[in-house]
Parts: sequence; C-alpha cells; structure tokens
Amino acid sequence: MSKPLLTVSDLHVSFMSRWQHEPNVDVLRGVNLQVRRGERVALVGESGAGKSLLATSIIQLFESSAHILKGRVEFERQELTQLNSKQLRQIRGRRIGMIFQDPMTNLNPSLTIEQQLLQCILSHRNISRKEAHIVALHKLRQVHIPAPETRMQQYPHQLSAGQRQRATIAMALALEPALIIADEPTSALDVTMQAEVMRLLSHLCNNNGVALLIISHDLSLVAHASDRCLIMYAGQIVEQGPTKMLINDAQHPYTQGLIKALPNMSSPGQQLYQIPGQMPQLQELQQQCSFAKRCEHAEDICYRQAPLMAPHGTHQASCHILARPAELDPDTELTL
Amino acid sequence: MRQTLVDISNLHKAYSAPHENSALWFRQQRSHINAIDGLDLAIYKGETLCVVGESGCGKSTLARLVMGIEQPDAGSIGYEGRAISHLSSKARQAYRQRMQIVFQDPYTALNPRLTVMHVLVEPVMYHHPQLDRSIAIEQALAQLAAVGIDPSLAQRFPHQLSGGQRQRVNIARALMVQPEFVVADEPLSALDVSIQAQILNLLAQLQQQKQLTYLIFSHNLAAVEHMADRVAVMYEGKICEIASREQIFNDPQHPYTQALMAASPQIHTPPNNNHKLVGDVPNRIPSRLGCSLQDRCPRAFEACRHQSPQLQEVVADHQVACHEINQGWR
Amino acid sequence: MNTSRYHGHYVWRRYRRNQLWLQLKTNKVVLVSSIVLLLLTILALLAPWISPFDPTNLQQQNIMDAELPPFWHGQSDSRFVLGTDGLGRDLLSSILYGLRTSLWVGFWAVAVQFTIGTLLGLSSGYFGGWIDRMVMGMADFQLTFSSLMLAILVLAITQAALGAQDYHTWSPWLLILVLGIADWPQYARTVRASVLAEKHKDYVLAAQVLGYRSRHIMLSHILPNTLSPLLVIASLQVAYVILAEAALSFLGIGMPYANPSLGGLIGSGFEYMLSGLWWIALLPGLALVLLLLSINLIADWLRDALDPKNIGQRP
Repeated sequence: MSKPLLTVSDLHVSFMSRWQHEPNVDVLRGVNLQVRRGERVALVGESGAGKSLLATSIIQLFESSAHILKGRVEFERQELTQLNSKQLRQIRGRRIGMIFQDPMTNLNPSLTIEQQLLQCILSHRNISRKEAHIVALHKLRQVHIPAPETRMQQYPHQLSAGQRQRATIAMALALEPALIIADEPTSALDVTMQAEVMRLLSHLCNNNGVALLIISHDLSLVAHASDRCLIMYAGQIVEQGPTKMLINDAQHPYTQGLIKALPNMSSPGQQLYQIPGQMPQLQELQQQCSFAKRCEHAEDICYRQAPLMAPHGTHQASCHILARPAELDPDTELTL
Repeated sequence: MRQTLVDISNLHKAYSAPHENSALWFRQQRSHINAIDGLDLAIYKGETLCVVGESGCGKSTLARLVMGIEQPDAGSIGYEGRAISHLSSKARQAYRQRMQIVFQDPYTALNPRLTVMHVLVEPVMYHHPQLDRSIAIEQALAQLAAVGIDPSLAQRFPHQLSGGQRQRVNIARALMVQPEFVVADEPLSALDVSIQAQILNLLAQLQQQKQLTYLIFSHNLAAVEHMADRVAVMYEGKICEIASREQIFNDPQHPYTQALMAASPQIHTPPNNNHKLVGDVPNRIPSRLGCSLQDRCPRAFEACRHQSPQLQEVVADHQVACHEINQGWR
Repeated sequence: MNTSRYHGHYVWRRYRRNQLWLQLKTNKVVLVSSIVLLLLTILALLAPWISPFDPTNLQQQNIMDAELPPFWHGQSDSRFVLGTDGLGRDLLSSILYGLRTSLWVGFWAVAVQFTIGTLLGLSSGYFGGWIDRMVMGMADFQLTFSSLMLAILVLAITQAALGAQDYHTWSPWLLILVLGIADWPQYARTVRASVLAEKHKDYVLAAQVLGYRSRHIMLSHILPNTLSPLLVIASLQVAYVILAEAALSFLGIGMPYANPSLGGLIGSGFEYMLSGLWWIALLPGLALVLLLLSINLIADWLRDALDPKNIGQRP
C-alpha cells in the first residue's frame, strides 16, 4: 500500500492553565491517525472530545495557550511540527485546504466572492489575474453554484447559506490541495442543504483525488460519505476501521452506545438506549480507560490501566474487555 | 374524543426588514417579511405535536406567538376555547403558568449569574410570596430529582454544568410552575448525540408522569419519528402537511416533506436522491402569489404560480397543501 | 422574596470561586496600587484624628509660620513636617484633609452618575420606543458639552448669584451634583447596549414566560449581567471626577479655601511656585498623582478581571 499522505503519531496537545497552581489540561492524549491519498476519513466525536483541536493541530493553527507536548505530524514527507511559520503558510491553503463550520466566518464580509477567490489563488500561484479569474470561475462551476458569473460579483451576505458553504469549498479547492479538512462542514446548514453539501464534498474528492478529513458529531451523516471512520472520545481514538464495518459491527462500548442511542434505532415511543453520565473532566484521566465511568461492562482493570488500540473483529478498538481471552466470555463458554 | 387544547387559526405575523437591493440608506425601502403567513394548527390535549421545518420557516416566531412573548398581526390563538392572543398582560397572567417553554440553547436560556437553586425557587416564590421558602426549596429539589440532576449541583452556576445538565435545569424550571402545556423549541439541537437520547427519554417520561401536552419544534427527523404523535411540516410560515406520525413517515405526500425525508441522514440506509428539490433555501422574500415552494418544486405547474394552496384532507387526519395532490393530478 | 441575599452573596462567591484574589496576588502592579489606594483612603478617613493641625480652624494658623519648607530642608520647623503654605497652614494636615475631600466628592459624584445613568439606560434599553429615543436624545445633547465646561458654567453662575459666602457653604454639594449629573450619558449608553444584547437572550424570555413583571426582570435578571462594564467605568470616573474637582478648585470655583481640597491646594500653591516655594503646589500634586494612578491601574485591571471570558470555567 502507498505511503500515507498524512500521518499523525502519538500526538499529545495540552492547554496551559490560566492559574499557576492548576495542572495543564491534556486535551489530545496520544492520537494516531493516517489519511491516504484520495481517501475520505471521518472523525466522529462529541463536543469536548478534541476533534477540532486535532484538526487545528495538524495545520498548527491553534490558539496560543495550546502547545504540542509530543508526537509527530507528517504530511507529504514533511514534519509539520518542525516547520517555521513561513513554511507552514505554504502548506496551509496550498496543500491542505480547510472548511469550517460556519461559512459566514470563513468568508470576509466586505469582499466579493471573486476578490476573495483571486486573493487566495494569486497569493499562492504565479499566474496572471485573467488566468486566475478563469480558475476561480471553473472552481465555482465545480461546486455547482448557479450563475457563477453573477455570484462572483456578490458579497457573502447576498448568498444563501448553502451557496456560501459551496463558495468556501470552491476556495478550499482553488489551489488543488492534496488534503481538505472539513470541520463540521454542514452543521450550520438545513437538512436539505446538508445532504447536498456532503454529496458534493465526497464527489469532488473522488473526482480530483483529494483526500478528505471530515470532522463531525453525527455518525449518520458521515456513514455514507466516508471510507474510513475514527471514533474519538476524551482526546483519544477509541475505535477505527472501514466505515461500513465499524457501523455494522461496532466493538467499543462507546461506539455501540452512540449507534444504539440514535432515535431511529428503537421503535417509536419506546425508551431510547442512553449512555449514562457525561464526558469526564480531562484532568481526572491519567491511568485509566477514559470511558470506564460510563461503561456498563467496566471492570477493575479499566480503572487501573489505559487500554491500547488492538485489532478486534473487522477493525481496531481500544478496550480491555474486548482484549480478554475469548474463553472468559460466558457466551462463548456456553457454545463450547 | 380528542379534546383541543390550543387552537391556532389563520395566524399572521410580519416583520419589516430593509429591502435587500437598496444599499443607500436614504433610499432604503422597507419590505414586510411574513414570518407566519396564514397558519392553522390544532393541538390536542395530551399529545406530542412536532413541527418540522428548516431555519427561517417561522418556527421560532410561532413558538413566541403561542407563548405570548409577541403579539400576532392577525388571526387568533385559542386555549381551551378562549382566545388568548390579544389579552392584556394582566389577563394573560392566568395562562402564563399553564404553558411553559424550553429553549434551544441551554447556554443562553439560563441567567449566568444565578445558581440552579435560585433559578428553580424564584418562580415559586414570585407567584406565591407568602409561601415558606423551605417549601419552595423542597419542591425545587423534588423537581431536580425528577429531571435527573444530583441535588449536590443545586448551588452551581450554569457555566459549571455540562450542556445536558443545563438543558435538564431548563426543563426543571419550566415545570416548576406546574404547566400542562410545554413548548420546546429545538430542545436537542445544541446537545451531543449521546445526551440527546437522555433528554428524549426524559421528555417522554415527564409527559407520562404529568400528563403534559407537547408542542416540539425540530429539524431532527429521527427524533421526531421517535417521539411525535402527530407531525406538522412547515415551510415559509405555513403548514404544508400535517398527519399522524405513521402516515407522514410511511406515506409523505407533499414534495417538500418528501425532500426532507430523503435528505435526512440515516445510519444504515444511504441517502435517496429521488426527491431532490431544486436550488437553495431562498432568502425570505416579501409575499407573492402562488405556492411558496414553486421555485424549488420539480413538479410545479401553472396553478402553483397563481394561487396559494390550502390544506385539504387527503385521507382521515392527513392534510396536505399542494395543488397537484389536492386537484388529483397524480 | 429573598433575592437580595442571593445577590449579596453572589459577588463574594464569584470572587472566591474565580480566584480573582489569586490573580490579584500574582499581579504585582495591581497589588501595589491596591495597597496605596487603601492606605490613602485610610489616611483620608482618619484625617481629623491623625493630622497635627486642623486646617479648617483659622485659630490654629499663624502668619508667622508661613512659607516654612519641608523637613529635609535646613530651615524647617519640627512642628510642620511637610512645611506650611503662604498663610501658615500645615501642609501635611492640608493634604490629608484635601485627600478626604477629593475622595468624598469623587465617591458621591460617581454614585450620582451611576444611579442616574444606570436607571435611564436600563429603562431605555428594556422598554425601547419613545423612552429610548428620549433618553438617548438627552444623552446625545449632553455629550455635545464638555462636562467640565458645563460644571464651570453652572458653578460660576451660582457663585455669582449666591455671593461668595453663601456659595462656599453649598459648594461641596453643588460640586457633587453638577459633576454627578454632567456625566451620566456614558453609563446610560453602556447599560443600554448591554441590555439590548441581554434582552433577547432566552433567559429573559423565559423570565417573561414565567410571568415576572418588567421591574423584576430588569433589576434581578438583566442588571446583574450589565454590571461588569459599569464597574470599570465607575472606577475610571472616580479618578476623572477627582481630577475635575481639582481643576475646578484650582480655578477657584470648587471647594472653598477654608475647606482644602487637593486641587485647591495646588491652585493656591501655584502662585508661590516661581518664588522658589515649590513644595506648596508640588506635594499636594504628588498626592493627587498617586491617588489617580492607583485608581486607574486598578480600573484597568478590573476591566480584564471582570471579562466573562476570563472567568474560570472549572467548578
């Protein structure tokens, strides 16, 4: 298999505390992640799991109170954590495109769509204004913006929310990057637009060979728009594998809970399955499984030792209970 | 026989907004946007009616009108047969405690400077000043237990609670005045998936315990399918289809309902491309002739451009506002 | 109902939980400023008991003691540690009494500003409509004058109308009133802006739905959420009012000569400046600078410390 485009290995990111006597908060605690060329990878987790921080850590664009404790981020054979800000600017936008949740914050409200697209293209590529204009128009056509010539002359507020998000996708695509990171690309959109934008994103990536890292809290949304899926919980990846297999054969209790808790997984009027409790405070988790407190299968070892990622079933998960030898499982004993 | 609790008929509410294409302030024209544009809806006692629609369809305006936070321009809202939409604030007071609202964003719905206990005790003490404070505190603790909040959190401030806990406190506050009718405006959309299930279960459990009537606004079709007795679909300030849950999910009639169902993400079934609408959700434009979906509807024809369709019964308890269906073209 | 108890506790509880004290301890500049301000305030409050002379008592003044230099000077008199002014008043006592007057005027004038501004701004923002237009119109009108100009105008006219003798008995109150009324628009505008932002938050709607009256919603729900910027303005205004009072007294239309204030002292010492008696103006001037600097530094810190973004989120 080809060498991965992006490799994140054992990444630890920590937030500096405002108060000297309080410990720093480790938000990412040993994240491993690989994205191959042209692959669509989904990163799913609840708020506070650290998924947005992971995205910004990849392009080294986080706030000043965060810092990388250890770990590597390798992209196209370059170690991104070692680059200076000028080299990083070359990577951002040109090789890695970003799409954020709210298209309105992504676009400058006082510039027309054309001005913004041209600015983006001209700052990275050595072509004439005329050529850049043609490129921009082509990109807008690619994202199916109706009447691109007129839309180009308009300001962001004159576009509908769906068109705005398409414009940001066009902007991310403008420099033909190798990877696009989309952080909750559809959560500011309506249901009918949501499906449309997801379809567009995965279609564009398939056609242009761009790798896609979609970050979302909604497993159903990425279920049909990604090749591989990673489930993130409290700053760690707890389960990963091909999306179809992960959903049909979830191993980790947290993933199982997430799927079982979906309202259309139980018949109407019935009590829904619910994961008890809430995401733990990150300071509390040093030497234990981060999900132990909410897990119905938790045992002593879960509170004493953090589990490691290991193959289970069709893919990988990090869980002590799964890692036990099969003969300890009462069900298996019966069949024997 | 079903008993009507809230009866909304021909409701209108318009907001004025600067005209989009008048950039010069001295030539600015103001145009009226009809947020609610002739809406009829009946809510029966003890049921859960879910109103489904996209942002900008007038859901929040409808919630405010029903709660009496705003006054309608025309039309009426009846509560147990009495018109309450144009009552004076004093006369309204009698109804305030019978209906309550749970807001979408649990972060802004709680005063950041008040503790959980204060938030819950305040409504009781305000309406019954002669009551002993310890009784109100007892009631508040009971309510906290009912919504599944540990009493040890009672002295916390909102920013010290998680999103799910905050939404529980919101629900508890609404229930402190013993309402019989609860409006919830997108109660789940600000919450995480694993917390959504907790809140859904809580709402169902409270409805059973206290015989509540729910009017729930949501765009999450999976959640709606789970909890609704009846579903109304709203588009541009009007109801375009209303039916029981089974009928609307098994046999959606209106093109907009069909498109919504097709677009709603499902974990095991891939999205369906058959019922796509054309174009985007439009920016709201001043009222015009014809059906509000005419520009996006793939099946629009002549009549749709001239006349606005009215809700008509297709089968028992299933009403649709669409010319194509109502005129039997299909 | 017992909301006041909650509000009273609230401020203290918030300070404790958010570790503002801890922040104060680590911030050396603010710590020193606070200590200086506290010391100056204590000195001012205790002035009648600790100052060696009573500068308001003409019996204790002797023209023979006039123009004596401070203690480090060779010709100093041990009775007058910081020397005396042109009429033989002890400078140390005058400064202590002046500090007292300045702080007193500053505090009460700001209290007047705060009350008027907050009430008008709150009503303006909450009710909107004609109340809003009227209040904001008044604020705009008032802002076209410099508050100092207005004060000079009013004080000069009253002085002329009442005659110097009557004027001096009333002047402290007049000063407070004029400086208090002249600067309300700042508060009103700030409160109005915060109220407009808070008014549409869901918790205010929830309070309406729960059937609370407007007055209750304004005072117990909206007002506490608009206080942080007001405290910053108020603390800066204390410094400004003290300065304005000093300027007015310097011009001779502020506090009477017999009732010394820092500004009055600087003003009366000014004429001796060129004849080499620099301390008569400079020493009260130093006290004024010290006072204003510490207040401004604390106000500056308060702005950051009360910013909700800086409030610790952890339980």
